[in-house]
Amino acid sequence: MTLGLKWERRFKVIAGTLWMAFILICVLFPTYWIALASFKHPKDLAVRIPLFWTSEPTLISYKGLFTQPFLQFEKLTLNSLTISLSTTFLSVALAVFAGLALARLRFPGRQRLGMAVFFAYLAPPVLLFIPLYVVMATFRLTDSKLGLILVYSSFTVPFCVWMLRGYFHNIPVELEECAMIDGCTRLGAWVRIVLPLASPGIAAAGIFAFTLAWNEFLYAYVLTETANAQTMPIGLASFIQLDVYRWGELSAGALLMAIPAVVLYFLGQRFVVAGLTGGAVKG
Amino acid sequence: MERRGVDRADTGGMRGLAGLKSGERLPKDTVLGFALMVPALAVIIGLVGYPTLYAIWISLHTKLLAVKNMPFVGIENYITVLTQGSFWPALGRTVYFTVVSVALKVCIGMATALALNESWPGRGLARAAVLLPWALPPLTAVVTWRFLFNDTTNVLNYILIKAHLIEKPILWLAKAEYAMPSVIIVSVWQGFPFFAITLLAGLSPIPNDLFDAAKVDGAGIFQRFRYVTLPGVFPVLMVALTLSTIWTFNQFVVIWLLTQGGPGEATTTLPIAAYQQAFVAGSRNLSMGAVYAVLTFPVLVALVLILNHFIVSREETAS
Repeated sequence: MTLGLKWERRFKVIAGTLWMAFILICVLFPTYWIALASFKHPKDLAVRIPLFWTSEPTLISYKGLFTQPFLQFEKLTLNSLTISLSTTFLSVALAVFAGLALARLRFPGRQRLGMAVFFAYLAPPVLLFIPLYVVMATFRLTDSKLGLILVYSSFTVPFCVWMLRGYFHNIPVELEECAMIDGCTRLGAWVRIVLPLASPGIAAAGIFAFTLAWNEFLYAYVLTETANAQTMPIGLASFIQLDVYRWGELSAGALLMAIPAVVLYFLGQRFVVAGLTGGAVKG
Repeated sequence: MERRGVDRADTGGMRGLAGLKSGERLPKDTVLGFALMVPALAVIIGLVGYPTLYAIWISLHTKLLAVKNMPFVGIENYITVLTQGSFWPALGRTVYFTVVSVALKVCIGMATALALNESWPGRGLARAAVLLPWALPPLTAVVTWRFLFNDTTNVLNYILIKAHLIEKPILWLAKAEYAMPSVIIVSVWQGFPFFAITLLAGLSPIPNDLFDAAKVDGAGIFQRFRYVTLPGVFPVLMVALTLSTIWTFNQFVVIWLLTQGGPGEATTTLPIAAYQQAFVAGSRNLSMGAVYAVLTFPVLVALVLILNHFIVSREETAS
């Protein structure tokens, strides 16, 4: 089984190059294809021999997207933004308190409470969407933005608490103690020392809360009916289910929706690996 | 049980509060701690804990979508679901979908992580590119793949025919035998970067000395993978594996938007069945949907217990 070191090196280089070439094609081609489609002229979209390049990019599909009367894309965008931003602020605020408590205070059961928070994040929407629908209907919160903000908190709050708990944990407690020796109260030390140091972590938690809410599908699908509270994924999904595919508009919409999610994801991603694997990985 | 909990909290506490161990702080910490936890706990209990129990409650009643009344029927719904034809095949499809998807995600993710762990020019860019499918909203991924699978825009079939991999166009989503592989492809495409990135993070701290020592001892490339790399990433691998299994088992949006569980019932997994029972099928029977959802619960609990084992043991060795 042992190959010579030289052969092993060659094997590694060749296998690695081939593999990465394959992976990069699989990853990039579909993304390229949808981006290209959104800039193609509609007549070039459904042709017998697919066109891998367009020499005349056009914004027709993007214009079409915003002028579809039944889609109300602007309204959907606004709803998505309102709901995702509100969810983000709510969850980050609650999570800062809870994260500080779990990382900094010593009280019985806090380790378990921390794990319980993490498991709450894992509770699948599939288990919760029926009871949440009944509860929201009882309070007349179906088809309302407030209803969706509350429901989204069910996963963004646990996620942010878990992430911030880990982040606060890694800030040396000595810094805070120094401030307390210099006359700060504990809360003062938190506000002046811990929170500023944790601001990248807080930003990352906010970024992920935003993308989780932005991307969410099942709850919005079940809980909304009209453009009053429908989000972008729901509007675009109704587009998919039409008999005639409007590939141009659909790919333009899917791409527009992806841009904030992808940009934010790349800004925050180096924190999430450490966050999700619960410190099993040092990020 | 209680004692163990307290011990655990204490070992954890030593790490965070090395300088503040005077006894009288404890009760104050407890009050402040719970006070700070209250808002988040209220959300978690109200929107996760309570609905979980309420799902069980609904499943024991007859609750139709448009009807207010909710008569109690006990386990009758469970008997109906477990004895009618469609539950067991749906469970089988869910397990098949989950096992095949997760296995492919792990293998592809591991191979990619190993390649990204070597140093080569452009590695940083490649790493970012690999993350792309994971960063995309599921809706965008699904629209993209519907576009690739679609037969009027035919690009995937066109490429595969040109490459002589297939002879006739494949009806990816319309034919029962291809529908399951198609949804698995999309699930793997979206999910493998999670493994690539977590495993990469798990690979980098393995000291090079270990590999060198193994080389000196005459271990070949595969033996080094088996005896150095794999044990090194094992904890990370297990956490990523359980998380991904939970997410894949409960996958809704990818399957629903690709096939709606069809053609026929070829891709009707438990989450799809739960949704159909509650919001699509004739009577819009929420309690039947709840039965399907509750029946996935044991699987979730088992996975969470595994996860708990690996995370808690990590935290204990760390402190």
